[in-house]
This record gives sequence, C-alpha cells and structure tokens, in this order.
Amino acid sequence: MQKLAIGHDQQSFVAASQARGKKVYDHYCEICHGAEGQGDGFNSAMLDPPPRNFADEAFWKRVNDEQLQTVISRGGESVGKSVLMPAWGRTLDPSQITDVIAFLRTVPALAKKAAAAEESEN
Amino acid sequence: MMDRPRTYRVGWLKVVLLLSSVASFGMLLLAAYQENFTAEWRTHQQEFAHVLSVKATAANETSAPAGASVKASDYPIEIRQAFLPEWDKVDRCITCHVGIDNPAMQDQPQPLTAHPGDILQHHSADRYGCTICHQGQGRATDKEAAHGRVPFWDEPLLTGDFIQSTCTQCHHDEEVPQAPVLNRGRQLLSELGCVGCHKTGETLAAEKVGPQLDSVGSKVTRKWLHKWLADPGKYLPEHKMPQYPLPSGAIDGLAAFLMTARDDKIDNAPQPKGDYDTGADIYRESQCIVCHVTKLDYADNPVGGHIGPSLMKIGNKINQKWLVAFFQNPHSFLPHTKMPGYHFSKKEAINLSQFAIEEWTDYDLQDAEAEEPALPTGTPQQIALGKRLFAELDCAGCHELKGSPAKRDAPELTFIGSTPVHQLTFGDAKVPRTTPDFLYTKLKSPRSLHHKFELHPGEDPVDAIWENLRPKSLFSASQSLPDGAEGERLAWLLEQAKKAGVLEKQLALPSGTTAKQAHWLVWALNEVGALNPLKMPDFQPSDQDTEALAIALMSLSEVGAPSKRFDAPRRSKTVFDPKDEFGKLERHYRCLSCHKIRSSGELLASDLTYEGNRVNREWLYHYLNQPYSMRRMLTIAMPIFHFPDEESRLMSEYMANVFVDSDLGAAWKRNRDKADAGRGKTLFQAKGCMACHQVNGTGGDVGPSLTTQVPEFPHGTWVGDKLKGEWVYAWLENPQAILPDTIEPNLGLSDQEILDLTAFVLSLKNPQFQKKNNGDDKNNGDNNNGQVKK
Ligand code: HEC
Repeated sequence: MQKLAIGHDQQSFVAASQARGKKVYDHYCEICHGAEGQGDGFNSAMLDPPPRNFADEAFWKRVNDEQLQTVISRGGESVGKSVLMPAWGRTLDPSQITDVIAFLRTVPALAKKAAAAEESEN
Repeated sequence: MMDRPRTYRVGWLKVVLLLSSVASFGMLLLAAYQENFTAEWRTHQQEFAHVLSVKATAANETSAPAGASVKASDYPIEIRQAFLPEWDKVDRCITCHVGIDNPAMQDQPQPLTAHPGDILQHHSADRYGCTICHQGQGRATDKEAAHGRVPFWDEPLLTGDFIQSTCTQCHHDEEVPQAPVLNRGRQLLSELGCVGCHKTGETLAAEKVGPQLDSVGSKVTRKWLHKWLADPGKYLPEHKMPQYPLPSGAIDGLAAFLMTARDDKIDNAPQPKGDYDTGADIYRESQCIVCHVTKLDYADNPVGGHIGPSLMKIGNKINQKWLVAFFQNPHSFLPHTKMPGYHFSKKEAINLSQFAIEEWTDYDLQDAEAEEPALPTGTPQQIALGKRLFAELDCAGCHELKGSPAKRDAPELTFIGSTPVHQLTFGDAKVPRTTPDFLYTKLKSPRSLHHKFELHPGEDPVDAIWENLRPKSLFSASQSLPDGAEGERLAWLLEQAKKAGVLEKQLALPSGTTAKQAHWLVWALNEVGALNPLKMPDFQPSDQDTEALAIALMSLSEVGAPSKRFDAPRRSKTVFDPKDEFGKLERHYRCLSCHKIRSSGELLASDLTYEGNRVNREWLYHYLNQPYSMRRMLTIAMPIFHFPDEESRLMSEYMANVFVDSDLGAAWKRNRDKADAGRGKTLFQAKGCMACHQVNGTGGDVGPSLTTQVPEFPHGTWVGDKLKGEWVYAWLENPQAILPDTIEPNLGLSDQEILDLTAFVLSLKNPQFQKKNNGDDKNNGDNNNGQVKK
C-alpha cells in the first residue's frame, strides 16, 4: 500500500489529545489540583504552597509548553518551585505529558464557561 | 429464379446479425467504459488522490520542505489488494478503503478514512488483510457484494462489537486483550450455566452453577418452591435461575419430586432457638456483607456484595434446622461455592441462624402467605411426573441431585459460529438471515425462532397434537391416547390440557366439524406455547449481555488460522492449587474468593502473590488472628475467622516462605548495611514524599499514612512494624512495576537514595510496642529471618 503521511487535521488531533490528557489528569493530578483544575483537590489543604490553579490567566502568560514539559516531567524542584509538585517523567511517557498539557490549556475556558453558567442560573 | 428469395432472406438475416453485433459491441464498450472510468472504487481513489494533494499543499505552505508537494495525477488509480495465500484470501477492500493505514486520513469520511485505534500496528494489513477479522467478501469490488450483504454469502461484514468474535482464530487465551465484550460473553457462558446442557468442546466437565439439591426438601418450604419454580424473579429480582414456561401441573410435579430430596439428620434435629444478638456479632465478624446483600439503605437500595445471593428474604423460605447444618459445613451442600468455611460451633451456627431468620424475613409477605391455603402433599403420580420432568428438562445440567445425572443433550455449540446459515432454524421470525442475528434473537427470545405447529393434510390431527404436546412428561410420556370417535378424542385432549394447567379451565371446543375443532385446539395450544418443542429456558438477558453472549457463541467456530505461526503468544497462567496443608486450608477458607495468588483468584482484596516479600511474618501472624481494616476509606474488611493458632502459624510461615520472589528488592538484602535512616529522613523531605504521606500527623493524604496505629490491634501497625525492607526498596525503585496503576510517581531515585529512604521508612515503628518486639528488631529492624513467636 502506498503511504503518504502528510498533514494532520489539526482540530481533531488536538481534541483527541485533550481527551486523553483529561484521563491522565483525572488519574494522577486531580487529587491535588482539583477536579476542575483550580488547585483545590482533596489533598490541597495539606500543601503549602498550594497546588497551581490552572484557571489563572496570569499563569498561562508566564509559561510555555516547554516549561510545562520540564516542570511536569522533572518536578517543581527543577524550576525552583516546591518539591510538593512531584516529578512525573518516569511515570508518564512524553506523549502523555503532551496530552495532559493540551488538557491543562483548556482549563481557563472551562472555568469561564462554568462561571457563566452559574451566573445565568442566579 | 430459385436463388432470389434465398438471397433476399440471407440479406435480411445479415442485417439483423449486423445490428445485434453492433448492439453487443456497444454494450461491451459501455461495460468497458464503466469498468475503467466510472467504477465506484475509481471515484473513491480519485477523491483520495485529491485529498492527498490538498493536504500536501497545506503542509507545504506551513512547514514541509519545498518539493514535498504531491500532484493528484501522480497517484495511480488501480485495483489494490492484500494477497494472503496461507489464508486463501484475496482482500480488495483497500481498493476503496485506500486511506486505511494513513494516519493523515483520520479526518476523512468512509471509505477513505484511516483505521481507528492502533490495531493495524499489531495486525499489519499485508499479513492479515481485512476479512480475516471483519469478514465480508474480500474479492468483490462493489460495496454491497464486498460487504457480503448479498444472497448466499454467509459471512457478511461484522458490525459493532461482533468483530471481536474473530479474535479467537489466533488468540487462544481465555481472556483476549482488547476484546472486552467477547471476554464478558465467554464469562457469561459459564456463569449462566449454558455449558451445563450444551457441549462446547471443552475437555473438563463444567462446575454446576446452581445449588446442589440433595437436601432441598429439608431446606425450603413447599410453598416457596412452588412460587420459585413458577416465577423466580418474584422472590429474587436478580436471580440466576432462568425461567421455564411451565404449566401448573408440571410445577406441582417438580415441587412434589424435589420435596422428597430430604436429609433425615436435619429433619430429626431438635428445633433450634438461638440468641439474636450473639448471632448479630457473628454476622459482623464474618463479613457476610462482602458477598451478600444483607440490608437496604435509607433509599431502599440493596447494600452488600453480589458474589452470593441476596439474603433479604431467606427467612421466608428457609428451614432453620437446615441453615444450622449449612453454617457448620457449607461445602458439603455447595461444593463449588465461593463461601468460606467458618469454624462455627453448633451453638454459634444456631445463634447466627436465629439472627438470619429474624433479620431477613419479609414479615408482610409472611403474613400474606399465612392467609393462603396450605398445599396438599404430593401424590405418588406427581412425584413420578416430577422425576421425569427433571430429566426431560435436564435440570441436572445446573443442579447436582443424587440419582439424576445430567444428559447434556442440548444441541452442541462447539462450532455454532461457523454453522452455514441455511442450517439454522429461523422459523417464522422476521430477522435478517445471518448468524449474528440468529444468535442474538435466540438468546433474547428463545421461543421466537420457531415454525408454528401446523396440522398437515392426511395425518391424524389428534395423534399429531398428542405427540407434539410439551412438556412430553406431562402428556404422551405419562399415558396413551384413548380410542374413540374423533370428536371425543379431541375433547379428551382438551381435558388433559386443562388438567395439566396448560389451558384455562373454562375453555370448550367450538361447535362445528371436527376439522374446525382440531384447528381451534391447535391455535389455543400454540397461543400458550405448548406445541413448541424447545426445551431451552428463557434467561431474559439484558441487551448488552445478549450481545456479549452472541459474540462469544460466534467465536465458537471451525474457522481458524491456517498455521500455528499466526497464534498469538499465550500469556502464561500459573494456577495456584497446591496439594499441601496450605492448599487444604485455602480450600476450606476459600481465600481465592477475594485474594489473588499468581493468576488465580479475585482482586476483591489484596494480591498475595508476593505477600512474603511484603510484610514481616510476625505482623502477618498477628493480623491473621485479628484482621483489621487496612484503609479507613474501605467499608469491607477481612472476616474474622478465629483461625486456630496452629493454622495462623502455618499460613503466616507458608506465605513468608512461598509467596516470595527472591529477586524482589534483592539489592536491599545485599546493601542494607550501607543504608542510613538519618539521611533517609532528610531525603523524605527533600523529595517531597510528605506531599502524599503523613508521618506523625503532618503531610498529605494521597497515599497511606506511614504512622497509623489501628487502636484495636494489640501490635504495632506503623509502616516499619509491618513492611519488609525488600518490598519498600522495590516499591521505591519502581512503584508501577508492582502496581501498574498506582499514582505514586517513580522519582528516579539513585540506589543510595532508595537504601536511605528504605531505612528511614523501616525506622517508623510505633514506639509503644517496641519493647515487646525488641528481640527481633536488629539493625534496620527488618524482620527477615526470625520465626514467629508465641
Ligand atoms: C501531591 C500533589 C500534587 C500532584 C499529585 C500534582 N501536583 Fe502539580 N503541583 C503541586 C503543587 C504543590 C504545585 C505548586 C508548586 C509551587 O507553586 O511551588 C504544583 C504545581 C504544578 C504546576 C505549575 C508549575 C509552575 O510553574 O508554577 C504544574 C504545571 C503542575 N503542577 C502540573 C501537574 C500535573 C500535570 C500533575 C499530574 C500529572 C500534577 N501537577 C500533580 C502538587 C501536585
């Protein structure tokens, strides 16, 4: 069979990555970072500094994908942050980390949507 | 003169010949044109070429290196095929499904789209083609024919999860990876007891799924047995016994027969009277709720496990004397049950039975039943009829009963999946004539695939009806047809049907000819299904289970891989069934009903395969004597078995010596003297371990606290009191290697760091209990070699 692997359909690939990323997130990260990614997981009360709130726009202005790759795979310590953020590079493979970043990027929009929905309810 | 007309005629024929030749030639041309220019597959390939070049241009504009563009005209339009000589297959599916192995085509519609998932990475198209898994007609190149939805093609394209049925050609393990529905279906085949009546090519006789009936007459009330046989769902909505459409006469017979299966010892025992409260304590200690529904929550939802039957109404059916005998030795009543043997004394069994009967009785139902008239005891004729019915319906396929062996004479299913469609009986049912449709319908509604009984001209209607009335034991097997006038014999038939409870008492033959009466009788009997020869009961499976079962049956096929070369590697399965003392204890306590040991058992509780590496035997011995709930989140716990001392000693010794892998954490055993708990303590902070684990009340709450003392346990339960160094070492080295799904991250610690951390973790022993254990507690406190002390 002839193989001509060129060009990806960006949209469906990104969506698939986000969906996979959410699964990774729910299993490994939610307990600290919270179900909606707002830094309020079950374990967050025990942590000082608290886990990052991913709905925070300022955070997204500060970081790029490469930095996120580093902190997720090598832990908070590797970027001068707290050791309470574990290193996942030996537990997750690089594609899972890419996926989870794709998911994290959706958090601010999801948070806004949820806030808007709440407002319209009131 | 003679020549002229002949010439004329020849000339006329020539014109006809010429014209028809031109017409045929034109048709050939047209066919050639269609075949070569407008065939369905050409359109698909042209479109594919177009998509390719569009994608190439897009890629070019963004990042692809110059010159990577693809012109649509570069792409050859041709028949494409996978040729699989060993399988004797030529699959041209890729002539239309051209993008099947091109991930860039994922966004395209059928037929150009890429294959979903990563299946093709393990099953390359040139080695396996398409129809081996999907079925269909590989050589065809137009859609309907290729998908096999044409007459006389027995293997149309499999749809939905049915594709999982073909995995078993190469995957011979019990569990096929990535075929969850097939796996579920196969599990159902044995769980529902299908193999009790049908042979499926297995070598070992299957365990019977229903309870053994040797003492059922001493166990249950006659009233209950009647109701159960008539409609088991009324007593237990989630019952396992399938429903037989039985007339009341048959139920009377079966109940009368089964009530004769008695155990004198139970019948003659004195009526017990126990203590409810003491029984309640035993119930809690024994953790009955792990396997049985034993209560309802505030919203009336059942609470408890589903391994055993719900106990909510057993007080309405069961004889307390039987229950006392059962509690003392459950395995003599249910040899294959998952229920453990407890060491109940007679007194304990009586107290527990008192609790059970009082706690699990539906008192409204009891009052209502007290109002109903008592049932007369069975007559000898009814008992004999019941015995014949038990054999006819092959109840012994699921239930052991002395003197009634199973016949297993239902149609064999070994190759049901590859049975030619024309050999399957669809009857009058309006379903597509395919094997999946047949199997699904048969399972969902067994009686619908059936030709209605009809009278044929020339045969004696009374004889024909009499011979075909079912169940046979009730009719032609119990007596013979009397002689007489046809009208009288028809009336006699109707009388018999009424007596057996097949037809309503008030029915009478219509007036008119005997032919008309016979037709009416056939109609009435057909209405109630009494002329349907099928013996299969109705399992009333959910749509999902029906599909899973149908898929499992489809996989029972004569068609297989042409050579062993294609066999998927079997995953080794080491069954744990030792014949030693421990094995005896396991069979008594049925540890494998909850625990996994190697590939055997269930994961309701922990995996014990490496328990000897994990915990020190001192702790294990104490734990067996007094098990406690490991995590406060869990509501279920290990039952308190009150093991005799020699048994807990034997089990803890055995697990410590046998349930081990000597390589696990071996580095700890070699280098433990290089470990330093002080450095480990610093590392514990530096590596952020406290983000998830508490030590002395500070730290996170993701993993277990390392310093929890279970108050009621008279020995230390801190991590150092319990775990062994080799285990902690191996765990820290690679947690996922031990528990693939654990969220404890692999921190990539150095050997020295692991040694130090292990030493620190082991140093976490509850100081309250230290004095007692001092003797075994050498250097890093790893209790490896000490024997269990009294
Ligand atoms: C044990 C709790 C815990 C878990 C589990 C956890 N984190 Fe964190 N994470 C933290 C804490 C605490 C911080 C804040 C560190 C700081 O601000 O110094 C953090 C911060 C982060 C940051 C922000 C770093 C920065 O530059 O500010 C990212 C990104 C992150 N975590 C991703 C993840 C991902 C992805 C996962 C799951 C794979 C995960 N975390 C799991 C505790 C956790």
